[in-house]
Amino acid sequence: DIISPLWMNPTKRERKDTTYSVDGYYKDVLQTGRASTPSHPRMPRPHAFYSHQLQPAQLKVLYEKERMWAAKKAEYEPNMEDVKATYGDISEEDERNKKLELLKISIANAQPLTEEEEKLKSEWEKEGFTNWSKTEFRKFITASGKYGRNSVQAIAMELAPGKTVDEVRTYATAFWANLERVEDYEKHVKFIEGEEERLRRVKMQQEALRRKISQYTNPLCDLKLKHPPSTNNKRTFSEEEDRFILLMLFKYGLGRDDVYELTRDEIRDCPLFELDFYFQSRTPVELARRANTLLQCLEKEFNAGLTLDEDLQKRLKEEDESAKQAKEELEKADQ
Amino acid sequence: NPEFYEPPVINDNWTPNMPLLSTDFKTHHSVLSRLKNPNMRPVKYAGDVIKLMSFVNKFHLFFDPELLNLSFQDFEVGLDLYPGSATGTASGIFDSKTQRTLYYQDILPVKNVVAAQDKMNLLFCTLLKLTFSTSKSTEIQSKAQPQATMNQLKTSKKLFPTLVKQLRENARIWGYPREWRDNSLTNEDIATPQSRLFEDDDKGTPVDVKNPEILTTNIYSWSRREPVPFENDPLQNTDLDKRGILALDPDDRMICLRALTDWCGAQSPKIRTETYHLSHFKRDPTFGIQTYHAPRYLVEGADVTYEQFKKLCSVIQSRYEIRSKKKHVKKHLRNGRRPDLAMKLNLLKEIKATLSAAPKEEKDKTLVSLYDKWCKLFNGEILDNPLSDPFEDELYRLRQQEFFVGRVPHIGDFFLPRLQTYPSSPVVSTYLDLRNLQALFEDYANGTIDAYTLFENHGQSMSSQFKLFYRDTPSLLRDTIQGKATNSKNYWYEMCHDCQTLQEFLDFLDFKIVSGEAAQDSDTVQEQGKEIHVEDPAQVHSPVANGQSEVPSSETEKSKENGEKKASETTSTINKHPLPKEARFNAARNKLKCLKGFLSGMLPVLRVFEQLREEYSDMKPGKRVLRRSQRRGMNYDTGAVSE
Repeated sequence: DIISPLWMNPTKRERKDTTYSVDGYYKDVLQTGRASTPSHPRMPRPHAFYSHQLQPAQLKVLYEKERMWAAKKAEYEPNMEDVKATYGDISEEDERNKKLELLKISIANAQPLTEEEEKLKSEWEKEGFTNWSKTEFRKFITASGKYGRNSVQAIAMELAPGKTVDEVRTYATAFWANLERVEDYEKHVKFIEGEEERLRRVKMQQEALRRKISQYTNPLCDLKLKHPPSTNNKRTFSEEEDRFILLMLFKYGLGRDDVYELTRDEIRDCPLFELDFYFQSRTPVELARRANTLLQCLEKEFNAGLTLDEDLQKRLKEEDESAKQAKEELEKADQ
Repeated sequence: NPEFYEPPVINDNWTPNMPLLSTDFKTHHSVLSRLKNPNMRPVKYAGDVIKLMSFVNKFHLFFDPELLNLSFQDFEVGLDLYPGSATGTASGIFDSKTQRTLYYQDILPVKNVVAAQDKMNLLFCTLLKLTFSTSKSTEIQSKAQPQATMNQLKTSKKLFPTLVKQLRENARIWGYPREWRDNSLTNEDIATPQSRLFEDDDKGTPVDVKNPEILTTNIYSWSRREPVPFENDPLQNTDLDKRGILALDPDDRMICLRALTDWCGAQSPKIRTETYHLSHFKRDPTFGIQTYHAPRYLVEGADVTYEQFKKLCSVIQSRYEIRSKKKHVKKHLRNGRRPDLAMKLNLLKEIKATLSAAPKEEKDKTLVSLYDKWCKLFNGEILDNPLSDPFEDELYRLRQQEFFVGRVPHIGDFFLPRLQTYPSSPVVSTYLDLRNLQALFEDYANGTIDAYTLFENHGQSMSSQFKLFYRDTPSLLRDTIQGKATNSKNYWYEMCHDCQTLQEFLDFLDFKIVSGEAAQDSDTVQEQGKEIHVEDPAQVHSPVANGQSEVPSSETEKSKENGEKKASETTSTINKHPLPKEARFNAARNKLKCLKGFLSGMLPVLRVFEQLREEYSDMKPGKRVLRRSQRRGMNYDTGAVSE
């Protein structure tokens, strides 16, 4: 893995259009005693509003209203730059219209927020998760992928000093319930689902391995793959070596991150491979690569069987439960 | 039309090598006491030494010529290791005459001990340099050079410190050998299951109602096998910088060298390139990629190998004959459009003529004597044949067991470690194809090649001493399968250590080869007739028909020896019991016979090498020396031959 699973592909950082002016610099540095309001008024920046904090959408409207009022108070006249900031690039004809619109709204916004609106604002501000920063959210997404979305304790462990398990749980519940309100949610969900698929796959491979090995009394000698690795690729491991790798994977389990170091040590310790320089010189990375190939072959063998099995298990569980209920009812009736 | 069907030739294994499968021993149980004799000694470190020798052998391009004549004994003397203990090195050699424990310094000249120690340090240094060489890995093998020379070792003062420092920095990441890990804290059982729970309980209600599956219910942590604490770590030994490998305890020296071959194999760019080269050929052996393989004539025996060759000849012959009968081929031949085929058909005719001219008893011999002509016929049909050189094709190098000399069912494997498999000179090396090997055996046996010839032909570049080892492979396999701890056990046994003890071992083998019933009945009067009667079915039962020509001679030999042995029965500690008479042991008897055949061929060779060591020791064959010693040799040559 060259790209770490934590990599989330953040949006590209755009270079700000900075033309450096000496005057502007000194204006800020040398306070010239005049009122702190700058000589030419500026358009107030929009209130920071992060979709992942799951604040009510109406709050945004209030913030916008407030902003326009502030602009009016400063007697600010919006220009092309502000249109760009608010609406993005638009072709020529519309641009003027937009600018005008903006101006009109700004002027028409005579009122600040009404008392009622002020109350609503403070109410709505209490909703949502303003204490969730962008980096925390990013961590939350990666951890949800790494452990599966419902593994709250594990996710909380990754966010450990900042958030408690309960905090994570309430946020996660809200996140999944109001998914559509989060910007770029398709991207996040896709990432999480992809990672979860990998987790599920490892579990399935583990189960396939367990069942395969339980089929043989003497797997080191007899284990045979139904769908052996493709013959197109150069075979460098002997079948016996393959069997040994699978046995070690079974012994230590796929969940451990140090399985392949352990396998390497086992190979070196095993007197059966004492004189097998090829096998002994394999690094954990190379062993992992081979093991992956073997596990994929194993998966093919059990793919049909396993899914069927899970359905069966569910049905069995349901039957068990209904039987239990029936029993309890009987007991109640007896009393 | 069946007459026109050419018998296939590709799918069968016609190579000069045979796979050595561990499944051969799957159901077998070895009985150690079966091999009991005074020369048999457990040697715990034998596997490690053999591994090292094999490494040097396979990657000889990177080692100084002075290291290519290492014998097993050089390791023992150089590292101060003594055979006889099943747990490590013995405390010395117990001399029963003087009731004293002797060390190598007491037996050997100091000069020899120091020479062996220097060799070990040179080996240590070469492995270190190989491991940390920063050469570009694209460098091809033709540019390979020895990494360190004896001269460097003896002149340079600062050879070890930088290398050892690098080793200390990296070794822990590369994985410590079993003996240097903290085995007391975490035994296998603790390493297997998850030992510590990170969180107390599993999960509550799912956060996403639509996908309620909880994938990670808990996170576990595992205890890892840690290296021994710093202060007990042999690699941290401060003397290692100054004295090299000799700074460590004898047992640790071997462990260190063994670990170093592991690290070197996995880390050295040069070794890795070479391994890649050796493992990525365009074609695979016909028997596929197997963990190990060994020369056919050692696995199956010489007779079977000749039989195999004969069979191949007949297959190829019928292929050509059937092909030449085909209509379009006939037409081509008539028009002279297939000159190669016409030539081959002529060759076949010649061969057939020679064969029919030969008397019936010598047909097989003649067939083999026409080997070169047959090879021309094989050309284009098949790449190698049972009689070609098993060590020639690089395809077989990586997984070849060069020291293997025999595998016996219900008993185990035998190894005879000697170097110089690959850079071979045909007079010196015994790593040859079967025909040339047998010719060589004869040359040695009848004195055509003597110590002087060897001296002349760089015989000193080959190990002059040897040991024969038995590995209890059935036990090893069973323990591995059952997942038992194999580290405390010993599977290696020394069977002999020089020509005299080898002769004793060969005599000992006779007890085992004798069919069970024959041995029991041999006390009765009509032993001779009975024995032949019993021996015959054994031959028939054996999976492959034996060469008939050999049977009568070995028969008489045996009965003769049998007589002798009865006399000494009461006096010695040798286990003279033959193998059980059940039919399933017939294969073992057969294989023991093959082993004996090979070793008796080797005996004169090994004897001459011993002689070479005694007479010429370290003398370097220069032009002047050669002329002088030739003249001098004249007068005592007669004496040597009569001996």
